[in-house]
Amino acid sequence: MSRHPAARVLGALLLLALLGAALLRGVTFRAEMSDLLPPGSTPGAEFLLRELRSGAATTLLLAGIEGAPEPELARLSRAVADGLRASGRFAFVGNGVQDLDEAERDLLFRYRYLLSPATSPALFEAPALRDKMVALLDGLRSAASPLLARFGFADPAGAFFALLGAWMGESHVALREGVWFAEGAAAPRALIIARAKASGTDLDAQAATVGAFHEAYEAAKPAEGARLLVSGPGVFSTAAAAAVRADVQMISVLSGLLIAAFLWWRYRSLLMLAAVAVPLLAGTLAGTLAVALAFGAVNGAAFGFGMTMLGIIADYPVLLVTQRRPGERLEETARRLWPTLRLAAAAATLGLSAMLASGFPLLAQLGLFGAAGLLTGVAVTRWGLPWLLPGQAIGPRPLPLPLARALAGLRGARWPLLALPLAALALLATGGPRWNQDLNRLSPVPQAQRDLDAELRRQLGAPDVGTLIALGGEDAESVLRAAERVGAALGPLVAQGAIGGFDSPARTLPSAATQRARQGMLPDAEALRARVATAAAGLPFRANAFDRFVAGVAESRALPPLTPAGLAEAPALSARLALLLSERGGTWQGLVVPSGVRDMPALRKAVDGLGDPGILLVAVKAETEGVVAATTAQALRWAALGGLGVLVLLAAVLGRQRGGAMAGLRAALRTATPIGGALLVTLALLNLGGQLLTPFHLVALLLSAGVGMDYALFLGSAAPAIPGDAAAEAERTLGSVLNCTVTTLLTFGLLAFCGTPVLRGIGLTVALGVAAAFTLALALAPRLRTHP
Amino acid sequence: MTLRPCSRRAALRLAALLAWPGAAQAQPAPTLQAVMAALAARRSGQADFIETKQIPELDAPLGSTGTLAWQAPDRLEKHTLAPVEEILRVEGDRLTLARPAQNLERSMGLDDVPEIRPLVESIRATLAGDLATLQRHFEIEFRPEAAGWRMWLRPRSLRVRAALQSVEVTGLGGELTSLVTRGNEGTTRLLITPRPAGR
Repeated sequence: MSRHPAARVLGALLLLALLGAALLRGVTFRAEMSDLLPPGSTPGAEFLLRELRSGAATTLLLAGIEGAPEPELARLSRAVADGLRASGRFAFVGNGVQDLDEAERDLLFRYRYLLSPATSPALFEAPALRDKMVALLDGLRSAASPLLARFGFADPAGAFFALLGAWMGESHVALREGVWFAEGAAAPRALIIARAKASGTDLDAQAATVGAFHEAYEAAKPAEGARLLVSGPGVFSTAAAAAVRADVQMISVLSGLLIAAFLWWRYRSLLMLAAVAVPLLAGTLAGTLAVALAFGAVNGAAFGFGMTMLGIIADYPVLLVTQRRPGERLEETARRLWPTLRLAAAAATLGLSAMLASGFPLLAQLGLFGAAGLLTGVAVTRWGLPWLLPGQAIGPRPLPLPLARALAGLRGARWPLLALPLAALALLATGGPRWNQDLNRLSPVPQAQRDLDAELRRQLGAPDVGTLIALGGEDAESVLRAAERVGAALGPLVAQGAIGGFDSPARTLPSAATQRARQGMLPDAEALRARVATAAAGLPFRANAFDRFVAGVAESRALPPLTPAGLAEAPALSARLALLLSERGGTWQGLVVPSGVRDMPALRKAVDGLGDPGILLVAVKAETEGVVAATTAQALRWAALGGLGVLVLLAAVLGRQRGGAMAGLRAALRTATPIGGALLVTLALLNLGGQLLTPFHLVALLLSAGVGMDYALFLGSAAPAIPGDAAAEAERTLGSVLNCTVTTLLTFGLLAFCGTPVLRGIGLTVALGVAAAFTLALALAPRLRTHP
Repeated sequence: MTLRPCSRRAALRLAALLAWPGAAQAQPAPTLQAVMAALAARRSGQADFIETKQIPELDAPLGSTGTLAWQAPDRLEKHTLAPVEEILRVEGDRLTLARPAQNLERSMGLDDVPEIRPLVESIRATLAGDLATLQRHFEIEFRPEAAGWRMWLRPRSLRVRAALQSVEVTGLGGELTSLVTRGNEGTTRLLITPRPAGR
């Protein structure tokens, strides 16, 4: 390598870029939503999070087509649905067309008396049969007679129509032009619902199913203006990744340009720009590598957040280069500053490491990313930069005079400390920090995408459920029996109006026990033939009119009960059942979903009354809020522990430097005061600004505390070692710290303009914290003995 | 998840039973084109009907009477008055069936189920004199008869043919006099008596 520093720095940058390219190629990035979910601590929360990660709902895709006249939308809906069915990626595609094909209808017709809730012994007695026959005769006169003629003689008891009626009664969707349309929407929107065969955890396959939607849509040659809207977990991951990527790119470019401009203004040296970039790049690479090694893969969101956070590494080279004394070699400067720099970096790393134990995958990744990045950044600054810039005299230009005067006035001025009691008062007055309870605020999924999802769900009549009852069992049969017990307990609640209704897997497929019980209610052929003859006496039916009925009942008595496997021939009903009954890892799980819950205590009492530990009532909103609160509390505990650790570290190190535990503690407290004060001021400002705190705010607070530590340590350090040159030394230190503050503000201030809520929160917190830490550290710094 | 009411499908089949009388001008040796032109010339009209349904499982046919009303280009109403009041209306791409005594009204699109549109068009496109639409759904056999004409419509779609074998229409010049629908579940005869024009 050349001896010329520019060549060395450029060479180092090139090397890092190559390493980075190799790393990005080798590391697996994932966009799994489950990483963004905190761990659950109650059975209800665990169940819920498992459902969110891999439940039946994760394979469901909802789509709308809009922006064209109804006939065109109907044509598109049909073409897209046909394309999806032909792709073979979907277990079920519903758009209103041909829900029940012939094979499925025949299967259901064959099982009508086993499946229908109308089956009872009385239904097959002569009086009931006669009523049904009179009604059939009346129906045969109507325009619907072909249908009645087709099914009515084989099923005068009406079990099949009762079955279809019960299932159809739940439709919320308007059928126009032969396909589903959103009811009551301002502009027409055709609706499609599809269930992917791929598991919800197989992200590549999920992405491919989303792709299949767009391919089918493009193949249908949509008219000008028509739009396809798709929602579902696969879309969510992609949208979240894209949103974070767009934000991070925007921030990287903009803040890069701004920092470059600022550094150019302060140093007038391209070499300085390159020198700052080296530790920054190295730190980012190290962070990525550490997370990839420890977690196997890097979550895209953690990478994005972490990269922006590591912007603070730029502080180290700025501190180093700016504090060089005239004539001093950079290596000497590095050696002189090292104890302080090392302490600052170690303390910041310690704080962030606490997040590793938070149990929240994304926070843990962020903590590791930050810690590894900071350590690498400081090490490269200490040992790399002096080698890259031997004897190079890059120095800052003097600060503009008004600014220098203002800063000099601020140094040691105690009045900014008034901000501390004011902040404490503001916090008290506003009732302390407000914590976020909404899981959605932690998610990088763009708000517009979430709104679309909620809208499509509502229009398809599948709104997000507020309450559900989870059932577990060894096999489908035991789950279905449990669902029937729950159904029996909920029936009275529906009658009382405590709940509006409920959906149950047993409604689609009764348990084998129930089916056998219904078989037991069916009369034998001889008895039934006699009753039919009695019932039909005097009515204009031919003698053999109901032969198909008698034969059908006889067949029903001998049928093996229908099981989930047997329902495979019925795709529409299987898809319906799969939402509420599924197998996972050898055990079966079912869901009973109450709707219109008006009396939660009554519902809880009814479910508790069953006394079955396998039946779990889950209040979704309360549970997710509980999860968020528990995660936040845990993050807070670990953050506090990290803070305490930092204080102990400071006291220990400073104590050794000052010679004495008490002196160390005093020095530690003096260093910690501006940081603690900055945290207080930041919390108060966030609170006044109406920000709800999330665990990410805590990470950002830890980060700004780490940055503030640099300022406090450097500005607060003891009188300069070269007598007589105190003023120049102090000004160099102040200049370096000021430059750090401005570069950090430029990066994190920009984050406040991001679309991703988490990034906005981090940006705002760090920017406020750093500004406050700088002001307080300067105010608490020792006054200069001589003034220039 | 939604299931379509299958019962609607059958309700619609009755649309095929509707018929409408046209102008009463007998023409010598009519051609299909001439009959269609004469039908198309009728913009509106009313008629009385007598319907008999023969269903294999019943001893005797079921009878009913009522009125028919046609309004070009696409509105057709069959109002059954006895023995039970029932109104079947087709307009545009919608079909509505109402039974006032049961306070029941149902509505659906003609394309909701594949069988429905051919059934509706067998009568409606005939009344409209819309040969292109008829030919899209049916193979047509036309024969002039001593006192008018006779037309057999055979569904082109195999799926439709499974439920509906044929529709036989007779007419006199530009008006229909009868419609016989043969399907799996029996045969329905509709005898049509036009009311004088202008009524």
